[in-house]
Amino acid sequence: MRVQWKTEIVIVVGALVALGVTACAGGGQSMPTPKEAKAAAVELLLKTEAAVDVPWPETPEPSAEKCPGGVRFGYFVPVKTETDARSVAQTFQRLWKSEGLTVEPSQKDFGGEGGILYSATADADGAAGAAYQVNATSVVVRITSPCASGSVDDYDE
Amino acid sequence: MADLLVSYSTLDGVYNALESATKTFEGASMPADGGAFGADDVTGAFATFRTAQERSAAWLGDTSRTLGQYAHDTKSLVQDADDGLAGKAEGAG
Amino acid sequence: MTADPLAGDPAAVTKLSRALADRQDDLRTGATTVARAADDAADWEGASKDRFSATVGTIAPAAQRIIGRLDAAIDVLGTYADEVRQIQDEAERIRASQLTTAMDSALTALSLSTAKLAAAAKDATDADARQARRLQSDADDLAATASRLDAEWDALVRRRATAERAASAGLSDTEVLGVAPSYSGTLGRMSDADFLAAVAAMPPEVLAAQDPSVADRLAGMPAETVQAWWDGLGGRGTAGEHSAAQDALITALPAVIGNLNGVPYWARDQANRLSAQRAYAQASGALRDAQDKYGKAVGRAAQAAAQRELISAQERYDQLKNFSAGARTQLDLVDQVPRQMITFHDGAPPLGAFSVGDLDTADGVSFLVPGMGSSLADTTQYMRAGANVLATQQQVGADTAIVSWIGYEAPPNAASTGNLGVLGETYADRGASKLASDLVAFRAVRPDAQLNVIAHSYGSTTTALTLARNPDLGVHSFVTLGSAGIPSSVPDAAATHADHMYAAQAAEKGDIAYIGRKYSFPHRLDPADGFDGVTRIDTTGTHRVNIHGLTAGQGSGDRGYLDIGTPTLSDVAEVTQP
Repeated sequence: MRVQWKTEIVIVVGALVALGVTACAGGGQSMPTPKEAKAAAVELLLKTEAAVDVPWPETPEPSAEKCPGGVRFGYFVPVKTETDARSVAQTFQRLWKSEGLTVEPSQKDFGGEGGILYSATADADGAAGAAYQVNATSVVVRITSPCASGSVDDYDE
Repeated sequence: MADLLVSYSTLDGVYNALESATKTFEGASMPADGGAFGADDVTGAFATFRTAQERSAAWLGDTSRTLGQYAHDTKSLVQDADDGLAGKAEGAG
Repeated sequence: MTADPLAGDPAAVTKLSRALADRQDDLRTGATTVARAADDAADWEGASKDRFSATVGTIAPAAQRIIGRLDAAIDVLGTYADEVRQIQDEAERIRASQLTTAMDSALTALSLSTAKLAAAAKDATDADARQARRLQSDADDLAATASRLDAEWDALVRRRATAERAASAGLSDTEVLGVAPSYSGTLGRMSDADFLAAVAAMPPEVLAAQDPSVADRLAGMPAETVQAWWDGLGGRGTAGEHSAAQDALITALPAVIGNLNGVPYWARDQANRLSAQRAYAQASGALRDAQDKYGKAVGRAAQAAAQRELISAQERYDQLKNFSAGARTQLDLVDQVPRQMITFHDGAPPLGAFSVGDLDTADGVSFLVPGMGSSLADTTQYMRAGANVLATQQQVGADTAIVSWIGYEAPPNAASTGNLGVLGETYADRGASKLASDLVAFRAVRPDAQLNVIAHSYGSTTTALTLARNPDLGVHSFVTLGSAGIPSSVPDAAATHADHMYAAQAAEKGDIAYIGRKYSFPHRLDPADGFDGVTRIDTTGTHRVNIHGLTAGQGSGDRGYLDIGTPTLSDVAEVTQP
């Protein structure tokens, strides 16, 4: 790939520009409405909560984020509770796999009272995504809706 | 944030009152001497006094306005006590 | 210039006094309205009310003081007007007498010369001699009168000069100006300690009225001096509890106090919120004006200029709007924590830093330094990314805070602007001193807290220079995420003086970081490849980070370095907590 330095730069900038133009090139299924997207996320959240017995709080208001072509909604649910972290993590994994999500787990020993922090992210194309971080003293779940039509400007920053 | 419930109408009332105060402070003008003193040093001293007054009143106006806006912004930090347990409208800014 | 007994218009001076009295009425009305607002706020409680209460309580007393100064000025003017009127009346009388005397003298002189001739003639009689003597006596009397009138006039001039001095001194008095006379002159000559004491003693509306040189001098004070001074004004304080003197400083000089090293962060936060609010309001107005102007522009040149102005106004507006939104944007945390606007500079571009967590009390603080294309318009985005680190640390029981530090002008996004500044070191060089200032400030007030820096992309280029040039910062961990390269003047981890250095470098889509490093000039080093002393944070494996950004969120299929549930997030959280 030996070319003149200047030409390399031009190619590089060109590549970056092309990258900037994120192609949500037509075709494929249409995007869900915000209502539909939220419903999908809440459904997964409720199933997740039902699978593990901890004092879950009320379903929170979601946060809105930009996603390619629209806006998506995140539901972040923290619970401070003593729990068998490994077992909870495995339960989440099993549930999400059964929902068709590809789960990618990891863990890290922080020591201290919390012990090992079990983490995972989980996705499926066009569906709500999920993530957890669980240790002996807390359970955190984040469910993200699919990308929906609309603009993040319609919501709080 | 740790706040719970505050009446939105209270905050609106505070905001409106402070906006009104701001306008009053900013409208309070300082007269110019127009050569009435017939003496350079008195004219100069009055000019200094005038500047001090204008800047002090600007502080009054700035601070009132800022407090009013703060009351207004607090609405987005707390839930409306007048609405009871209702949270913010879905997705509303 | 001698005083002129006839100069001036006492009626106009009296009119001035009446105008000042009208002003008093306005200020009184305003103060009453504020007091009413404070009463109306009775059922508003909680932490958000504390800040309101402290400041609203200062307005009525300040208005009273200003009204008192107007009273004092009205007295001075009243006295002066009376004196000037009397002096003018007297001056007119003297002038009239002088005129009469001069006329009489001239006539008498004429008669006298005639009488003298008659008295000296051959046929002069005793009557002629007596006439001459009488006229001479008259002339002498008139001369004495003229002399006396001259003396009276001189005395009147002195009386007028005295009245002028009294008026000018009266208008310069502390009672009228709020500060001792010739204060501005003496302030400049005071020692630092005396200057600080003087500034702290001033009521806020008087401090706000001082010459800008006062603010400049304060801004230049060293952190240790400032810290000792602030603590001496009633203790370190908190947002909820602090002294009136501290509150006065915050409200009088917010632009200075908000960025003054040595001042506690709760106070910097309050001051910066005031400044940012004002800047945002001003930017909103400027945007409306620019839109107006663009709509009315006629002709290619005018339209092009108006469009440039509009773009610029929109940019600034967006930046200030998002920065202010940082106060209330929803953050995903296990425990909600205070947020502090720890710096704010209303410049071109505006710059600032917003913490999630309390910098005055957290055991460990991390500064998140962004890269290419970043501005205050990205504040909430960085705060959310930082919140992920914080939430993880909260899960493991750590007491930390994370600062979204958008305190330098980052190079523009090369992809969208074509500006290749990101490939050079100029932006990093300029940014490095700004980051240094804020890190040094933190160390000055929190010598024992843990300090970390998490730097993204070009932010790592900037941070490397900062750390290399400031060996005594005591940085615990320096973490680079998707680094755009370390300047070759910082050849290894040891050169950063950080206790530990970590680098996470993913195989990113579009390889932005790689491009930044490969084409950098002067050439930069890759901290994740062959950089001595660095611990590499794993981003590969099934859970691989694959984009340059800090977060992507689930559902997109992409992973950012700090997304919830990722191992990179756990790694970063672990090395940046006490």
